[in-house]
Amino acid sequence: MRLANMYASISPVSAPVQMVEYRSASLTEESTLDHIHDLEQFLASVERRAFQIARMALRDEDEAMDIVQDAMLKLARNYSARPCAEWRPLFYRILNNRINDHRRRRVVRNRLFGWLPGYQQEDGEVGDPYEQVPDTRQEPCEQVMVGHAMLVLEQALAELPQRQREAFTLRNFEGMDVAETAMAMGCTQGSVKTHYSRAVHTLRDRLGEVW
Amino acid sequence: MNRMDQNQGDDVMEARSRELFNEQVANLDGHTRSRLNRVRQAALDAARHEMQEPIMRWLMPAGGVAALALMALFGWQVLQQTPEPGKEVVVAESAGVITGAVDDLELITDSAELELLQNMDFYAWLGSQTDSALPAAEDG
Repeated sequence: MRLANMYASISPVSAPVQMVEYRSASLTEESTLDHIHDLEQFLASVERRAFQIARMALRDEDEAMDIVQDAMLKLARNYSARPCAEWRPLFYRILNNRINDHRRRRVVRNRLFGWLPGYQQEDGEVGDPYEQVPDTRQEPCEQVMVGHAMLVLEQALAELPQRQREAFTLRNFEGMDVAETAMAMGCTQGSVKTHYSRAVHTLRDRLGEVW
Repeated sequence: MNRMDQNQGDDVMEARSRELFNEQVANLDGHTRSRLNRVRQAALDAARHEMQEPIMRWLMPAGGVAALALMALFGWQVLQQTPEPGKEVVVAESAGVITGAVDDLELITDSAELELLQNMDFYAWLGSQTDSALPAAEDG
């Protein structure tokens, strides 16, 4: 408002025009701030779940964090102007693409360098010698939270085909409906149903005895 | 009956796995939460940058294209002015014009000549006087 008064004192003839310009500029700024606020709320609502999905798929916390970061940045840079309702499927689509790219690169890397002594194979069978030194500290989080059932679930999910894992993750963990999952996976709703059904049957067969 | 059991088994498995997942998410450690917070802030900064400077995103490539077009135009003009057998005289004339312009520039930038330019009126008056008037003025 003070800025508008300043405009009026400087050039009273064109003051109304400048008032309109100032008002439209402030409205644009307000809408941008609202949009940023919405984006922040959205990212805060999905970040932990996205991290957990990436961690379960890759079984590596640092890599999972990198992938979540990439997905957030890509959404913010390329799709933040899109309507808020589209963010969720878009975000999970980016996340899944990143996870799959990462898994492919890991397989190629293991094929190329797997013969080197001390090279870390997939699933951490052999690693950096320093990382092989046993950690004697208590890890309460793992003791309390990560039970045997969770480890078995992670293993079973990691062994699922890519599309089945995506369908199960989005439908069951994220609670997306079929249409939203189809948008996130970039396929038809029929494919989603098929992938999800197969995933559930496979997991039930593998986990039924444990649970 | 078997189908009902199978469906029940599926439901139990889905519910149990969802419960485990939610438990894991709820119990993420503080270090991970802090890292996620930083990641989120970085993404929001990127979004702010994208939203507040949309014009710059278009201006920079447009400016680059304009600069390239200007350079191409300049290069084309230079190529057009290369000496040809029938146009040597014209080239020589334009070379003379350029040399004259450089001489003028030297005249203007020379500090000694600047005094001359400042007293131009006096020198104009002096030039208008006849030769006979000058000795008389000196005598006087």
